[in-house]
Amino acid sequence: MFINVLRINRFMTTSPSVVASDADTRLDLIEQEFEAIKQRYRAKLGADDVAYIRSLRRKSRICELLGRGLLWISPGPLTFALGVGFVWLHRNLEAIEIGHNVLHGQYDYFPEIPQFHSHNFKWKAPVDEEGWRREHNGQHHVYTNVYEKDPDLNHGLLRTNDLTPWQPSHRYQVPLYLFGVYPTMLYRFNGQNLGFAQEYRAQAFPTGNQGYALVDTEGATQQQLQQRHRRSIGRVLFKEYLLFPALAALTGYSALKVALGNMLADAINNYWIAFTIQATHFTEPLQPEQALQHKGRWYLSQLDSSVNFKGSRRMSILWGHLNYQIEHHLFPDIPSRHYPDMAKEVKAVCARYNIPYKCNPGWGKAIRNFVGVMWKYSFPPARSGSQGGAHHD
Amino acid sequence: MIDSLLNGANRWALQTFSRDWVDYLVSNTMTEFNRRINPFVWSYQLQALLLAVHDEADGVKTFVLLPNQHWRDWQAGQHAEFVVEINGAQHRRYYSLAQRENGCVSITVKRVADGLVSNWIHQHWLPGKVIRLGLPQGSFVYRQQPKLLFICAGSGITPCHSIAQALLQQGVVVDIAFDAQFRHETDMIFASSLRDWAREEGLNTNIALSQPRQSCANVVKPLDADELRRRYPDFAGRDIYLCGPQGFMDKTIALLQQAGFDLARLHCERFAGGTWEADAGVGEACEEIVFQHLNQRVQLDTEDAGKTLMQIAERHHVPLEIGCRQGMCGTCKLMLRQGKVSGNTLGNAVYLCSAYPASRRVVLDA
Repeated sequence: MFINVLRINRFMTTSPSVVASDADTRLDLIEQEFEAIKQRYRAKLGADDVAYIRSLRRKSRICELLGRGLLWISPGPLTFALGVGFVWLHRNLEAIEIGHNVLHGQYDYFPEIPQFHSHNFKWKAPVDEEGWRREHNGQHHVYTNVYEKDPDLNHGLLRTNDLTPWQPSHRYQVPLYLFGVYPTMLYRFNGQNLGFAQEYRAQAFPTGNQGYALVDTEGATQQQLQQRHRRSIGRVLFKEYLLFPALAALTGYSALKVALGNMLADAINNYWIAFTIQATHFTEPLQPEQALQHKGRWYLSQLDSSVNFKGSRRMSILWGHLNYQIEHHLFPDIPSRHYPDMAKEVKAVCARYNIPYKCNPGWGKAIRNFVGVMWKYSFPPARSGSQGGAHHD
Repeated sequence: MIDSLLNGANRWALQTFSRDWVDYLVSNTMTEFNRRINPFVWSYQLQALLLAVHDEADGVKTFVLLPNQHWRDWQAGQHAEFVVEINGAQHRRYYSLAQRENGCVSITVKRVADGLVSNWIHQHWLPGKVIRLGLPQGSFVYRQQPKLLFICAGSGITPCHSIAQALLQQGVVVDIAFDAQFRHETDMIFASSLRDWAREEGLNTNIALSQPRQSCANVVKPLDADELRRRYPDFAGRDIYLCGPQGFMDKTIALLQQAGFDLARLHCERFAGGTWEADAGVGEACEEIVFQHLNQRVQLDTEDAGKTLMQIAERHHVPLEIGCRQGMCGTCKLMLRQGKVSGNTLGNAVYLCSAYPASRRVVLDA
């Protein structure tokens, strides 16, 4: 019934104030519903969450030990493949289920685990933590899908809607991203978060950064930014491609094999994460910046720009629970292990208020959808005036 | 044995590499194992290693400390909070810092008769001990004035001596005069240092005794209106740095006022028996918010009343991480270390955008 009120609203001209207040009432109710879910889960946080993040770290260490050990001494292709698998598991857990969620401040409430506080945590991924927190938590999660405000909507050279001016290089964005950007995705995050990408676009595109969001680097000097970039990348390159290969060589094993194994694990991890995060965001419809003026409206815009995909609870850990992107965007600093349970309550609210709850049947379908969007916007907009009416599902 | 080896290694690392590099290395290798084996550097806490203890005078000792990588740049004249645990109870004391070579700092502690903490420190702080402290703070620092006069009494000499020493060491061309007052001959701190400065640097330094037990050479009587004009005829053209017990400070300020001194050029450090007020003042109007992770302090003014912590921080240009400003994204969360806040909090975490200060002093940290 509320949706009807909204629909009528568009055509009413006689007493807009009355109708506006009805729409506001609906938003108020939606806000209360989602706030209530959040408060229920905030009240639940405690020892179990501490135990969860600790046990994840333990598992990640065991995977690391097994993986590096196998790669080090592996006599055959099977042990090598197993080694790559375990190193990948370690790096995957550290990058998303631990790293991404910790940097959201999901474990800031527990003084007994300072190592998992968002400001203390050091990522085992080549990403500068502060730059990430400011761009991802402070911009992407706040202005999700807002044109020229959400830096993750069109990133790097990517174009995902018709408002963004088309450049000839966009023609190649599908192969460029699939074979160039995604296998090294994590190494490129700094480019966006520390403002290097926007500098590049300002020079390379005739329209500059039109259609792309700018990040604010809070007065840090170029020199400081470069140092942060070097340090966050350097620690990973040093460990994966220098330290462990050197240790193998020193003990009479093959450094090349270790480096190659680490590189494979690295590439798989990058693809995995790239496809997880890209396939769980709709790039349309764009959201209004004013969504932020009402919490209820903001919750709706988060629901409108995220899409889940189905998967088991165990697999969800490997996706960093980003297959519950909707819940993650509604409640970004509630520990991710609660998302599957929260999803049931969110779905119920959506059903009650007639709000679409978007969910793909599987990861494959989600990826195909996203690649379809990339393909579609590789080309200049049709002249027939499809602009603004470009609907995609 | 293992402890002294670790202390040696930590000392070597902190004195060989910049603290910034040590922090990069340590923070990226913060494992449970490392934290257990070497908790001095593999720690999220600022702490210092006690390297040496010197006797300064009767009942006065100087402690030379090497802080770990969480230490920040500081200026002579500033002080730091020291946390001393005695029989399970925590006590906080504030001591002025002095510059030492190789990344060290020192504090000079006078033993107060019946003083719990100072006596405990004198007895238990031995080389090799790890000490908990806070970041340097205070605005009693040199501000590029051409002519200075330090007036101090008792252990109030420590910040004054620290500023003068730093200026002399750095070779800053500045005209320094120094008036230090003590009770008895045996109370004198840094007396030989002041005499050296007079002899070698040609500074106008005077040491006064308020209750001399015997007639003593090289000392003068406490400062009064006549003595002020006689010893420092150009005092009106100097910036005066004043530090000592409250009674002494009040008397000296009255004296300067009568002498027609421009009080805008008077810089005071409140120093009462070696302690600053440390309690948080719950329920009182907030006066100060400390953002420890940024090493920034905000003194609140009347326009800050009724504002959120974030609005206050923004008014005073604190570079916080900011998101939705409505308590939904969690970007601005910080930990509450001291004091009280009201509004949106969860555990120790405070949502700055939707929480308000609720005590005289609020200390936030990452």
